[in-house]
Amino acid sequence: MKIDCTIDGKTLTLSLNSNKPLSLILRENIGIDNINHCTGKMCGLCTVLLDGKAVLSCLVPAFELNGKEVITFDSFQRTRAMKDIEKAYEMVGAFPCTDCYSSRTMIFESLVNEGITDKAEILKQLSLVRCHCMVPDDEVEIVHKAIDLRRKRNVRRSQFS
Amino acid sequence: MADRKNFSRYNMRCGVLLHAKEGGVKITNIDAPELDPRFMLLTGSDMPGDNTLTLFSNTRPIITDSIISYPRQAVAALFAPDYESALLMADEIKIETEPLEEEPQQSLPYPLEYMWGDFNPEEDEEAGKYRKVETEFTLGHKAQPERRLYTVTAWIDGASLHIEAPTEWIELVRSTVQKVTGYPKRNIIIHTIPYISKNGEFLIDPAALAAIAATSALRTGLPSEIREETMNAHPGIVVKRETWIDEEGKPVSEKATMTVNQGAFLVIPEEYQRQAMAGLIPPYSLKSFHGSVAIETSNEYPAAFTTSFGFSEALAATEYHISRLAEKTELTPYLFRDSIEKDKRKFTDYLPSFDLADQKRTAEAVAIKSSYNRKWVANTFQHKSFGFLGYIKGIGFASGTGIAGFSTTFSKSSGFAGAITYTQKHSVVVSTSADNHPGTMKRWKKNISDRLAPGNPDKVTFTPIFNNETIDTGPDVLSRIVASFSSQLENASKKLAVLKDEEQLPVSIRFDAENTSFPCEFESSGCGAVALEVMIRQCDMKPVVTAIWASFSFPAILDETSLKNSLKRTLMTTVHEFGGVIEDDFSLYLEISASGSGTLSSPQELARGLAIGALADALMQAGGKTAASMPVSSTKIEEIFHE
Repeated sequence: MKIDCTIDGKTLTLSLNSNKPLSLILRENIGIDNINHCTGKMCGLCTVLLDGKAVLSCLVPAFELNGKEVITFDSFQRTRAMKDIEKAYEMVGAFPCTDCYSSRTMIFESLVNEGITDKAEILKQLSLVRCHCMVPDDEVEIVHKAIDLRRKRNVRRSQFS
Repeated sequence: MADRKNFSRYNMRCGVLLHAKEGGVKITNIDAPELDPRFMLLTGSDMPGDNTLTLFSNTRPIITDSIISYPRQAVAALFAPDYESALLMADEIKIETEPLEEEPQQSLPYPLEYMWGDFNPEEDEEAGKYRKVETEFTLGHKAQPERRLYTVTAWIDGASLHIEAPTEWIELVRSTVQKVTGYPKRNIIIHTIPYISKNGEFLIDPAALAAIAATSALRTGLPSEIREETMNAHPGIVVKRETWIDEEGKPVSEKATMTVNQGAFLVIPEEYQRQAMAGLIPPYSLKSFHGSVAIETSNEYPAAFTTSFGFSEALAATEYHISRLAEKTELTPYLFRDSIEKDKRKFTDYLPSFDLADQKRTAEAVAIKSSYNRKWVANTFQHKSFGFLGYIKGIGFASGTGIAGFSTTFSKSSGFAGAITYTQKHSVVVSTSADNHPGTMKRWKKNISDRLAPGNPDKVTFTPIFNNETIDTGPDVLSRIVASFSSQLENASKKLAVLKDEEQLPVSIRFDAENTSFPCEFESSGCGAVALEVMIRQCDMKPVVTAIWASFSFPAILDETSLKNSLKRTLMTTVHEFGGVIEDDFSLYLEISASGSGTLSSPQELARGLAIGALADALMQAGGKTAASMPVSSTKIEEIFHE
C-alpha cells in the first residue's frame, strides 16, 4: 500500500507492506541504522516521536503512519529542544547509558512536550525502556528541570517576538 | 581510510544466519528447496578458505559443517535480495540432525593453582581447636539474545575488499576475513561503525559475520549485508571454599576451588584463570591458602566478557564467604571484616601489598550511611515474622579492592607497543595500537601537550598502527594496557621534553609493555564497599532491591560525573542481571573519592563484583539458602521457603 507520512521533516510517499513495523521501515527503507528492531519484544530501544508522543516503533504498523509525523533521534539531536534535555542531564548529573540514550531522550522530550510532572506518570512512561541504567529519582528530576528550561526559553522567545 | 561507498540497497544481498536449535548433535542433512539465482545458501563447506575463527590459541568454526556444539550456533547463512525474502526462505530450510555418539574433546588448560604456607589444621595435633566453615557459591551459565540487531556489510571496490562492522577488535576482523577468503590483508579495509557494547558483544561475533559477508560479496560480486542479534553470555561458576577458623573466629587456613564453565568454546582461558585467582585470594591474613581455578566446557553458548573476565565473580564469592564466616562469630559482616583485616594486604603473585586504610574508610562510610549494623540485627530478628509482616528483608555487605584489566603475562604476550615522536614541525605524533575512548585520548593529548606543546593540544596527533596482532581496542574493562600506557606516555613525554632541545629533530622514543616491570600479575586499582537491601514480598516472592549504598576510592578521577554515572549503571544493571527487581521507590547513594596519584582502570569490574557479593549476602539473610544459586527468581525463592 502507499503511505504518505513525514519522517524527520521530509514528506514521503512510501510503497510498503501494510503491516511492516515502523522500526524496520526506518532501518531498511530510510537507512537509519541506530533504530533497533526487537520484533516487539519490548526492549524499548526503538522509541521515536509519532506526532510528538513517544512510541515503540516496532509496535507501529505501516498503515498507522498515514498522515502522521515521525521524528527520530537522528533529526531530534540537532534541534534546540535537545539542548534543553542535554542541559537537564548536566544539571542533575545523570545521563542515560549509550545503549538507551536516544530512546530515553525521546521519552523525556515527549514528557516535556506534554508538561507531565507527576512522578508516577513519568516513571510509567519511562518504563517503555527496559534498560536499568538510571535511578528513578534522577529521571523525575531531569523531567522537572527540562520543563523549567523549556518554559524559560519559551518565555524569552515570546518577549523578543 | 576510504569512505563508505554509497551503493543502492537494490543491488545488495541481505543475509541472515540459520541457527542450531540444540547442541551436542551432528548435522546429517540440510534440506533446502531449489533456490533461484537471487538467493545464495552458504554452509560450512562453501567457505573458500579456513572456516575457523582463531582467538589467540583457541579456534571455533565460523559456520559449522558437521558437529553442532551449542544452541544458536551458525549452521548456514542465507543471502537474498531483501531481509523479508531471506527470512521467509530460511523457514523453508530444514536442518536434520542426530545425537553425537561421542562428544568431541577439547584441550583444556591445566587448573591454575596458587598456595602459600604448609599449615594443615586437619593434621595438626591441635585440630580440635579449629572449626571448618564450608560454603558453595554458584552463578549459573547464562546466554540470552540482547534483542539488539546489528549489521555487517562487505563490498568490493577495485582491488579492495571493504568491510563495515561494529567491531571492538579490528585486527581480528581483518585476519579472519583474510583466512576465510584468502584476500590479501593489505587490501582489506575495515570501516568501524559506532557501537554500544555493554558486555563485549562486538569483540568476537562481528569477525565471523564479516567473513561470511565477505564470502558472499566475493561470490556474487554484489555488496552483501548480514544481520544478527547480539548475544550476552556469561560463564557458569561454582566456588567451593573451606576455611578453618580458630576459637575466636579468626580464619587460619583456607582452600578455595573455582570451576568455570565457559560453554562450547574457550575464550582466552589462561587469562580468565589469572583474573579469577586475583579475586579468589582473600584480603585477610592466613597461615596457609590453597586456591585453584579449573576451566571446563559444555554444550552451551560460549561465554565471553561480561563487564568482567572472572575477577568480579571470584571477588563476589570471596565476599559472600566472608559474610558466612561472620555468622559463626555472631558479629555483623562489617564488624567481622574490620576485625580480621589488617592494615596492609599480604603481597601475593597476583596483587601487591598495599595499605587497606582506604578500603576500611569506604566500608565505614557505607556502614554508617546505610545504618548497616542496626539493620542487619533487625533483619535477623525479623526473619521469623514473614507471615505476619508480608515481607522479609535482608541487607548485604561487600568491600574489596579492584584490579587493573589484563594481567602482566597477557600484556607482555599481546605485543603491544607505542612510539612518541617530536617532529621537525614541532608537532607530536604518537603511534599506538591502544586506540581508546575519546575522553581518554583527549586527556592524553592534554598531558602530552602540557610538556611538549604547551597550550596547543591540537599539535598532538595519534596515529593508529594495525600491523601487529594487538588488542586494538577491547572492552573498557580490560584496560591494563591503557593503565600502564598512561604512565609510559608520561615518562616518554618527560624524556622527549629534554631530548627535543638537545638532539636533531625528529626525535622518537619507543616503549612497550616489556619495558615496564610489574612485580605482580595485577595492580590494585581502587577500592570500595557496597551495602544492598533486599525485600522479598510474600505476595509474589520477588526479590525487590530497595536501596544500594556505595562508596569508592580510586587513584584518580578524570571526570566525576561520568564515573558516577558509570558506577551507578554498573550497580543497577548487575543487580538486575542476577535477578534483583528494581522498582520506582529504589534509591542509590554513591560517593567517590580520589586517593592520590595513579591511573583509574576497570572501575566497573570492582563495582560489579561488590554488587554481586552484596546481593548474594542480602538474599542469604532474607531467604536462607537463596544465594546458593544465582540468578534468583521468585520460583527459586518459593522453593526455598517450602523446604
